[in-house]
Amino acid sequence: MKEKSTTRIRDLEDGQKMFFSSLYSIKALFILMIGAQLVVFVLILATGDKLSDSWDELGLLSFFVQWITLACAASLYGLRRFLAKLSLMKASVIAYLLILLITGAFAGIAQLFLDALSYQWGASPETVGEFVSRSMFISAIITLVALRYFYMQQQWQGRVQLESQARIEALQARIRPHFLFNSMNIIASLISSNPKLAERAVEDLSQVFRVTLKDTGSMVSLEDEWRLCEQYLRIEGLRLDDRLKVDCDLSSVPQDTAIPMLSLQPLVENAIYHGIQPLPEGGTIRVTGQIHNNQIHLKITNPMPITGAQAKKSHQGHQIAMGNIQHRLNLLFGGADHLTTQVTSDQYCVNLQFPYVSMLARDLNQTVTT
Amino acid sequence: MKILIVDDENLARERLWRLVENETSHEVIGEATNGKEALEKIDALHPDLVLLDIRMPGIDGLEVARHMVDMEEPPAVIFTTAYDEYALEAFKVNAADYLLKPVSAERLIAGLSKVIKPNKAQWRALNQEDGKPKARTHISARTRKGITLVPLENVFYFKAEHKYVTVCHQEGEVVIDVTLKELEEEFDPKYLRIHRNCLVSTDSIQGLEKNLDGQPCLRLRGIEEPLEISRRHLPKIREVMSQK
Repeated sequence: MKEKSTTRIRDLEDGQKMFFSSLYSIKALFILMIGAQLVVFVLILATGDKLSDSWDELGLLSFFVQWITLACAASLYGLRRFLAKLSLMKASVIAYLLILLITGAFAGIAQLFLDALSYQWGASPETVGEFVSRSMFISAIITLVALRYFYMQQQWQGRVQLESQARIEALQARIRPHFLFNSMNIIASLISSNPKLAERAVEDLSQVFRVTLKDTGSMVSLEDEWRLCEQYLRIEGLRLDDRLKVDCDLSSVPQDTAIPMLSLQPLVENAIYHGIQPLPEGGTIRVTGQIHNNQIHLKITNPMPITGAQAKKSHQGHQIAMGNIQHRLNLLFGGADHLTTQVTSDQYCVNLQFPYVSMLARDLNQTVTT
Repeated sequence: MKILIVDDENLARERLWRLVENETSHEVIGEATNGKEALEKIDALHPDLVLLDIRMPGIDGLEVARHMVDMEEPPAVIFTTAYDEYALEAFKVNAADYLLKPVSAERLIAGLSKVIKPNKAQWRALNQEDGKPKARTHISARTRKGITLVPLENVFYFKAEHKYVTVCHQEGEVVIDVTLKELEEEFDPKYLRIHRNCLVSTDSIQGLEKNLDGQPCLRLRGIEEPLEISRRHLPKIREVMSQK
């Protein structure tokens, strides 16, 4: 199961790198052809000629643009193996230049062919060179827009995929038998000895499950995310008793900071499972936050068990949840290095860093755009 | 029956204690919060039965059970666990019973009524995993002060003398009642046989030497006297050292 999710992340990475892959489908080809046809309509309308006189040109231009579009798609498909080996930037530039080249070539051939038939293309006569450069110029602009469109679409798909994956993983962690049955055992114990605390534990447990199952909004305020952490920590606190100490100071971070849902809680969970639980005497989880140059810095520190085998095992456990959180932060805020880890002799530290965006401002923006 | 409750979770112990006292006629004589404490309490209190949690930090429940092999009269064991699919598989063929948490009163009564004390062979079976002995993380020895637990990584060498094996570790020596062969099987490849009567930690090996008689011997880190080697084991020692 764990291996599966890492490969999923890797697939996604490849997907982002090769967003051209989204071009290689019948649906994408159809979108491409519709788009090309729309461009033709725009070009015809922009000439200002009477529409009734433009039928010939519409036909001819459609033929011309579709040929170019299909030739470009075919050549990108042919080069897919080669492009996949390159970085996103290089592949994009090569694809871009290739499309320009194809457009230029087709424009040249078309103009020469029409000259041979002595057909008058457009209102004023043009030389081959003029027509080729004009076509390439238009193509340069439109290709840029098209590439950007496919890139954005790929990014969006990746984000949706990661979010649902995070939710599934959090759910799997929740229904991790140990967590569930240990919590039930605690509640069973508390019902007779401390009914009030038992009630509270049931409420916390329900809330933790509810958030995991909830399907709205990928961003929450730091306040909400931390509340979830606290509820989770209360349940684990009952179980681990005085072995678990939490030292949290998030007072200097704005509480309305927008943060991806389930990005802090899995880190806290990791800290408990790999840092506190293996230690007979327990330890302290430290959560601190700062805002600096409009960048939010969050830090989660937990003690590290000493024995090699345990440390290695826990390290792998950390990786999966963190890989997911890292990807989501990278997709949301762009760039890399939003999540870093530090290992000192006996402490394991996870750092989160991302720009400050107020949840309120985000909500406003969303209502305006929708 | 005198019962010892072992669980790292306070509330889990509390509940078991209450169930045993309220629902059965047995007596709880103590509790322990981790494996080390459990072994000490078993040694001191001589319970008839241990209710033993499997998942505990440090020495876990399964290892506690393995240490009982060396006890003269080990108590019976019922494992308790929230969920442990692999461990549960193992018990089905072994002497120990298990209870799933949260434990119901009926199930506890039923479990306690059919308690059987495993014999030595069954205890040994518990020590196996896929037919091979599973290595413990500590060595347990009975001394005058009670039970002593020595972390395996602190052990320099085991030396067989007369009927017993001497364990030489960072804080001194203890004597245990097992054979060197059993130790060799359990801790291979961390411990290497260098002589008919000696097993050394491969991590502690410093170098080969010759003593005054011209006999090859082995120097260990942290030990003053070099240890005698038998020629028969020399090629294997060289091989291990070249891999380091």
